[in-house]
Amino acid sequence: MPIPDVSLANLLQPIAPALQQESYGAVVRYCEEQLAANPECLPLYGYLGLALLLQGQEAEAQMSWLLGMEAVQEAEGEQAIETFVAILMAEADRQEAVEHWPMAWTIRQHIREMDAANITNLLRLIHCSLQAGTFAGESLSEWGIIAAIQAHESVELSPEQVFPLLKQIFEADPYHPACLEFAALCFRHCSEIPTRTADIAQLTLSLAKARRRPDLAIVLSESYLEIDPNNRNMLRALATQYQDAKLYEQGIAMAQRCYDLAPSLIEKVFANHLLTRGVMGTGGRWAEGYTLLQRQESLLNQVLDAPTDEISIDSGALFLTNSTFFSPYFQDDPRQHHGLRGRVMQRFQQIVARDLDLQELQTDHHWQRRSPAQRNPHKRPLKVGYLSYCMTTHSVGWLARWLIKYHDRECVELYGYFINYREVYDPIQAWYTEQMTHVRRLGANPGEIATQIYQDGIDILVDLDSITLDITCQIMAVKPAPIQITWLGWDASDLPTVDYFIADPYVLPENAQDYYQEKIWRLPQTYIAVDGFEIGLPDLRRDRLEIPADAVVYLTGQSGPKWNPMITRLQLQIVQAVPDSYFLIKGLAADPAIQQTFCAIAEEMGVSRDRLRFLPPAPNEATHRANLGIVDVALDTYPYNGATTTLETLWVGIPLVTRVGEQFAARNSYTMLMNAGIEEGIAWTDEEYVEWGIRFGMEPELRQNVSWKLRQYRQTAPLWNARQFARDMEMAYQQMWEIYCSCQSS
Amino acid sequence: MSVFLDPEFALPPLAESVPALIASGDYGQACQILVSAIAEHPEISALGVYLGIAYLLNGDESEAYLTWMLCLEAETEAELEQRHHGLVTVLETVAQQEKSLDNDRNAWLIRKYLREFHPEDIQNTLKLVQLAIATQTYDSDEVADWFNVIDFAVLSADLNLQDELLITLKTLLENTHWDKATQNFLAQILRSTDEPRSFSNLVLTAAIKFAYSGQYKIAIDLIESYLNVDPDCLVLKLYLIIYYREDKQFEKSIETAKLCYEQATFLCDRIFATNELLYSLINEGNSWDEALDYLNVHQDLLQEIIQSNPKVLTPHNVSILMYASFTLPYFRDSLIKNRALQNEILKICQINLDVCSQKTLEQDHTYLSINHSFKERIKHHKKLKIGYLSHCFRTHSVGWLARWLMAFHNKENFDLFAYSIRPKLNETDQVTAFYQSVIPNFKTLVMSGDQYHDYLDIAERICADDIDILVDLDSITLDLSCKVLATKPAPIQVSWLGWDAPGLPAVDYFIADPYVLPEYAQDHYPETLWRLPHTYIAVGGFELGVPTLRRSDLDISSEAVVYYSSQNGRKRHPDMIRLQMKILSEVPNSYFLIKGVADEAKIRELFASIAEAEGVSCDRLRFLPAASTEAIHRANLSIADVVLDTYPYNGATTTLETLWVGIPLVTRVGEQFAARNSYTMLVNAGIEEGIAWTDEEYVEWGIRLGTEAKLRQKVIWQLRQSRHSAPLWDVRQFAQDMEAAYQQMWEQYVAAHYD
Repeated sequence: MPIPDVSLANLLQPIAPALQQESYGAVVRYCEEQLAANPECLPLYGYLGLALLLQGQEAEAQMSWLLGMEAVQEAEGEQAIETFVAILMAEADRQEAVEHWPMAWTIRQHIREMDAANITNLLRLIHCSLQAGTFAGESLSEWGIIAAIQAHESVELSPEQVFPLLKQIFEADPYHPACLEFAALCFRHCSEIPTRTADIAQLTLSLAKARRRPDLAIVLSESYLEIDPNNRNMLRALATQYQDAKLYEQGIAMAQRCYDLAPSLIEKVFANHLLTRGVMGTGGRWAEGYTLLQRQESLLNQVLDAPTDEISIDSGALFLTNSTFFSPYFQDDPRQHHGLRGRVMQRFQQIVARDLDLQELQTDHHWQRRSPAQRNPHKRPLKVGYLSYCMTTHSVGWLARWLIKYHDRECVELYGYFINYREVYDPIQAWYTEQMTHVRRLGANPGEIATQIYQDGIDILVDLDSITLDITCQIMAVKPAPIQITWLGWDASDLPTVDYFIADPYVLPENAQDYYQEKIWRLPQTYIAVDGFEIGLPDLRRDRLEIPADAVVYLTGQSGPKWNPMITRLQLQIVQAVPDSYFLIKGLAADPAIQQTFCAIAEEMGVSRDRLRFLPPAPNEATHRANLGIVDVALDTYPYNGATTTLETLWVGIPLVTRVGEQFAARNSYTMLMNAGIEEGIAWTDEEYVEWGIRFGMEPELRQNVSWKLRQYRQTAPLWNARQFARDMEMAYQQMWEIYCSCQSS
Repeated sequence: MSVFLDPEFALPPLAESVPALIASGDYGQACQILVSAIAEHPEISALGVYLGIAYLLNGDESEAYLTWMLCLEAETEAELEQRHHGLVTVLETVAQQEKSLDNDRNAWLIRKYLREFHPEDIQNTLKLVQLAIATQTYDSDEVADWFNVIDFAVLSADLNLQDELLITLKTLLENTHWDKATQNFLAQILRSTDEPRSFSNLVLTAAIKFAYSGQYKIAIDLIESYLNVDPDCLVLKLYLIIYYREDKQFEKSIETAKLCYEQATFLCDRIFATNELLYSLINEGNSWDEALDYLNVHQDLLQEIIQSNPKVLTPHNVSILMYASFTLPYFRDSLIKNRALQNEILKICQINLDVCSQKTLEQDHTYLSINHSFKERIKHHKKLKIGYLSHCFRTHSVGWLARWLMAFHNKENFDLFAYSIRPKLNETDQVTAFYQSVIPNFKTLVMSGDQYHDYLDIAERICADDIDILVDLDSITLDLSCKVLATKPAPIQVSWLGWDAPGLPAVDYFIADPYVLPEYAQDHYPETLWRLPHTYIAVGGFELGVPTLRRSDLDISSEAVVYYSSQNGRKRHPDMIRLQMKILSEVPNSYFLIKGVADEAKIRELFASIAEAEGVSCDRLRFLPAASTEAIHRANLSIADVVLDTYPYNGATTTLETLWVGIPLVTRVGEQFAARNSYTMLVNAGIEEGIAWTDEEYVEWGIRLGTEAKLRQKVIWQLRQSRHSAPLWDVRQFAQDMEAAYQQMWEQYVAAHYD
């Protein structure tokens, strides 16, 4: 006998307030009493079960729902479920509203058992488990959400339902394959997802960078592009991810697509940069890269000729920052590089100043907001901030640690600004966080980071990234600190807001100030020093490579963008001239096509293939350094020298031949050799390069002598005296501060 | 219910099934029966006690407690006492029942409440402590409180308690890391017992076990607390000599050794005392003269035991003798004399241990008891099974060096086993982890400190695995390994790397090379010397850290000549220091860096006195602290121009490290194994410079390498080149040489048995 609606409403009326007051016992009693009179009233069973569930009596709750189903006709079974689900959904929503996540989760699990295809409930269930901190990727398949969505072609999800969930899922269990599968489904069933592209690009970035998993980022980007194939933002992200994962062919193809789709000059600039990055990453397609470089220059000139207001900070200004990155790999022409980069970075700076609402950070305020004590030219300690994404397992991170280690904490108060702070354990990052007095674990938002630096009242901000990271450029362009320096990571950025570039007597030619925007600060001896390197156990021996013990072994350790056919020709000329010599080539082993190119040049130079050895990469840096023991002479690259590899080579006592040039990148090995006390192997022309290479091969005495000196000078050479280097840097900081104070007060 | 002394505590027929229900875990049913039984027989208090137990085991502790409190309600003092007695009797009965059913957790729960009602009950408290450890609910402070309310004075009166005390003490010593409660417990029982000696064995076993894990301070504390009560217990005092020394308390060690020597009446004990005294004296660093006096005493004692030809030594005595020749090579380079003594002594060890083993062999040593027939072995033979036996598969110099052979062994052709003797399972050690990853059958064998059974248990495992060739890396550096070898668990037994050969008749081969032993050596070894073609050891290099030492920090100019030596105090024979000072005095602007374990003040004294005598100013000596890691220690070697080796006991790992880093070394070659280690390594690295056959040559080489920079440069260059080709660094070739040796040994074994 159905109960009329009005009386049903009356009957249920006391329940909601009782639930609200959490008087579950009362609800149970009330429902039981009323059921005695109305044994067919479904909502009463529903509420009875709910109240029992809320009291923690799960088995009894299920029993009462079961009884309810049995009490009605079979035909009404469907209706019973609908009734119960509605009651439970309402309560689950209420529990969520008061953030009782575990209870809401429990209720939703029961709804799932009644109505497995209820996608709204399933999505909320995931949300509850995320909030309760119990989410795991396997839940997605366990709870059938993937199957449920797949079963309903027409399901339409809203971006508000989807995106926050995806973000949290990838935070909670980023490595589970079901998460990627779920994300792909969400993209497919959310026609408005393109409104959230920027967020999804951010998500892939965090997977690739903070989580160190470009492979997962690739899958996520690919599945997004399936539904929005021409999204240039995602295409760019994917091109980068492919290249980071060393999938150069796909990376190049994707960059080409970006270029073809680019609607504006500035997007073309960036796409062309990505294209160059992919081509140069392969390490063997120099000529192709050179063509791209020329196109890049012409594109940039067009950008600079156009009015400033064509680009805004949100429409591609960041693409300017690394647009000139590859020039020094092709040509040793610093005057030209800095000329173009200076103009580009000036334009960038103008856009930042115009578009970013960070007025209080402007230069003039730094001095004004300081108290008299903070204006003391002899202030100690100075607040020095190190800004970088490289304070991790990265060559710059390895090298900079010595300065940080030896910093006198009474002279400098250390602030570490970790861009893209890694969420996965990284031993070097962990070391840096221990060393810094103030640790700032940061993401990728330049405005926030700049504000943090400004609020910290940093006296000197040291940038280790230069133009290798757009975020860093933008922060530096805002000028959050009164004195800004670029050191170590790369050549100077040419940003107008950077005050100094750290160099030494050798690494830049005497006239370099002519074309540098920044003031060049030459330290007395060297711009870098290390105390040494950890050395592992070798896993290579000459006999394993079928090289006789008494042969002369040459090595080139540079690959990727540093490789070019000109320097290879010079190197092969050396090998050709020295009988019984062998040439080890590191970094090209993976790609047979590039080996082919290399062998073809060798053949042309008269060097037989069986004198070449393509070495596989060593399992880690320490093993790589130990393996250097089989080498007699290392041959450096030009116009882009090795840096870390040069230091490692000299540390283990191997002679090095380098071709000195004009630009920073072409003089790194030169300054390192000078600072290690070695003049043998420094070539000022191509002819000298070949000459030194041959001499080292033919004269064991010479090798022995250099090796001996390298070893003896470990005790005295500036290159290996990191403590002294730290004193020199601190002295520079003090003087820069004094200069700043005297300029401001006069 | 026959266990009840008093029929008053018996259950009425209605409730007779209750104990069985409790035993089967059916507490609900038990409760129901008890509640109705109580309604009928409110006067039977045993019913209430059982009801409480049922509640307790059902998880309702407060209800249980309340029920028992009701049971204790009484009108008179006498009635209360009777009811109390009933309560504790029933609790005890059920606790025993649960324990016999292996329900430790239940037994523990009941005994915990039993203790509340009867805290002075020693028996219960002891059992409770054991159960607490078994159920991992042990709390040191709580147990200390339990012991505080016990009157240990009654112990001497109650002989029944003896077993329980021993078990409890053993459990505490094994599980609590010598906490306050255990310390207090041991002190109390020793104070109250008339026979402390009945506990001495437990104390010794525990101390040995702590010492195995390097916890010498605990071992010392444990023995000292025993000796407070029983100061004449020689066996414990003897071990104290070792533990003091390892804890770097050299003075105490020496003093204790002398006391022991005075006190000891048995020959083995005297040998123990003099042997350890010698070792402490030379480790301390500056007592060589005194040590030389005791060396004569010690030798006389060894002669005496050899003459007496004993037949009934205990395993403990055997252990003593196994170590007894250990110090000889530090004093003198006499292959013939040192080997003669060691070989005789080890023969005695083996004969006596055989007798002990026959007595101790038990049913569970099935494999060892069977005489394996040669035919059986041959019939199923496929691949050679090689077992490596050592306590050094860990961060230890032997562990570092042996890893190369294991890494390059051909696992297709050989079945590899390792028997790693360790104080506990599942230690975390990077070198151990390496061995576990490369040896397919890596087995950790825990040493309990029991000198009667440990060696047989290990030998049994080896025997059960049917090992063809057992390779020992310990020689006489661990009595346990040596005893395992003596029982001959494998048909072919080989000693390699760890030390000179043990001299045990049960060992068939000792691995050597053309240089490390002189040509005539075979006459003085019971083992067959197996000379590998080039070298008895090869390594593939060493990990180097970033150096932390700079000359400028040591006030040494970069042009100065830096001599260097890093060795234990016991290797620093004064005669060699004299030679080293002669070198220094001849080389202007030279310094000597000295590093290594000893009493630092004593080492300084020793060097200072000799330097002064040789006219070398003390400010040319630098004493270096230990580096934080081995990798940094090796990197710091590069501060040196020349390393000066020790004699008559050379460096081994230190020599390899020196040559790998590329530093010239001066060594004095002698006759015995320990005096020819650096010699074979230099030859195998392709270096002749620095090999001295006399004292004069040692000084000469030292001076030349110091003054002739060109010569140093040449040696350094050769060392660098040697990495490409020298046998010392050719680990693949070395592994092949070892494998060929194993194959040939097997062939010889087979051939010998067919004949």
